[in-house]
Amino acid sequence: MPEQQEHLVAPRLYLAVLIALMILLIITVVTAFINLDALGSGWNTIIAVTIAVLKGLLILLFFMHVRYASRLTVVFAAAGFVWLGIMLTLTMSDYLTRNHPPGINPKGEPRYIAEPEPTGSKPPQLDVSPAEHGAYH
Amino acid sequence: MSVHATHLDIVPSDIRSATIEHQFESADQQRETATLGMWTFLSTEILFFGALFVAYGIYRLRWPEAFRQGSIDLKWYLGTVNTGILLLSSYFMAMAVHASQQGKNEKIVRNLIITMALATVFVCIKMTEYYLEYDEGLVPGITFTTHEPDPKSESAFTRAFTRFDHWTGQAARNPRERKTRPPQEQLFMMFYFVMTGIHATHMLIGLCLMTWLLIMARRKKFTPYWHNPVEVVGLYWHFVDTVWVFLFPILYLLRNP
Repeated sequence: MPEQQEHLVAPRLYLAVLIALMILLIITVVTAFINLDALGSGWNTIIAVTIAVLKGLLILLFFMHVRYASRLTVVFAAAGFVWLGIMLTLTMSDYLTRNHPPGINPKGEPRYIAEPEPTGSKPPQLDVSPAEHGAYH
Repeated sequence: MSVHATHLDIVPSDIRSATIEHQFESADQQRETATLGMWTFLSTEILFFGALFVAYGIYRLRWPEAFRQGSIDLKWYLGTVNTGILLLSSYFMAMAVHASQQGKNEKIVRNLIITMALATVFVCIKMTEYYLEYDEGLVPGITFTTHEPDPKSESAFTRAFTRFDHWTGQAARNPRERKTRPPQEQLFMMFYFVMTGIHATHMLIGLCLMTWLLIMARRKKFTPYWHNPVEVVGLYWHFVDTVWVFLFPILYLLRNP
């Protein structure tokens, strides 16, 4: 049975990938110091993560040879990311859709301000009156 | 963009068969199996690091201001230099794998030594950062203080970095005034130390593996038909690099809301 030759990537391509990675690194650092809130909240995060994904893809496809790998290897390589995607999607579909904006307490203050302890030992406020609430005295 | 190694054809057939384990039909199948096994391991690694990333995301949503302050308190320039070093080391690892595909052992040695040197520089910079964070009162449970420590109590080394921070205008700390830190910044620092610590451990394991490759390459063990260890360690190294590519922006760069 004739031996298949392994795909040899030209060193020039590796160099091109390295240069692309370095340019992306510079872009991501520069954009981190520009407040992009004018575009809408969270754009700094979106750009930082998108550039990270691009860099990750470049490394995966070219340095890790996924682009030249057999389909079986590609499936194995993708499996981890697919499961990570499920974990992220299901978790964030909860945390991103809670009823008040994340990081803001119901009073609209940033949450890192320590919330004062209620003075005295008043029982927690209930939506129902104690009389209606059988178990509470 | 492919280069065909024509010298493969002149390798005697007994050298080919000598490096193929009996359960494999061909060198190609043997290599494919090794790569597949490595990717299976890397999938578990993706989930291992992935869980930390998801947890980090949840707590960042919960305490955005504290995490922002945490990012500002890290040394962004050291993180940037380290990212560049790691990307460069990945390039030289790719070149080592490239040399191994052609069975050029001297070239493997040369590229591996550069990769290992860069990895060592990375770990040294990382340790320097840990030292600075220790001195600046940022290690939760050990030195963390909600009031920034008095610069006078710090070592001259740390003060030099504080002055540089101030000079770049991105200073979290003004040497002349002491600010307070949100207590939840400890949570950020916890994630920072666990994530970068596990990453650094992976790098040290990678350095050990590369030492092993170096010894084998010095003994001219690798041929175009059998160089699976180089390829597999290469995959591992690039994976560790990819993890850092994601760690770097979420830890160091998310300083704007």
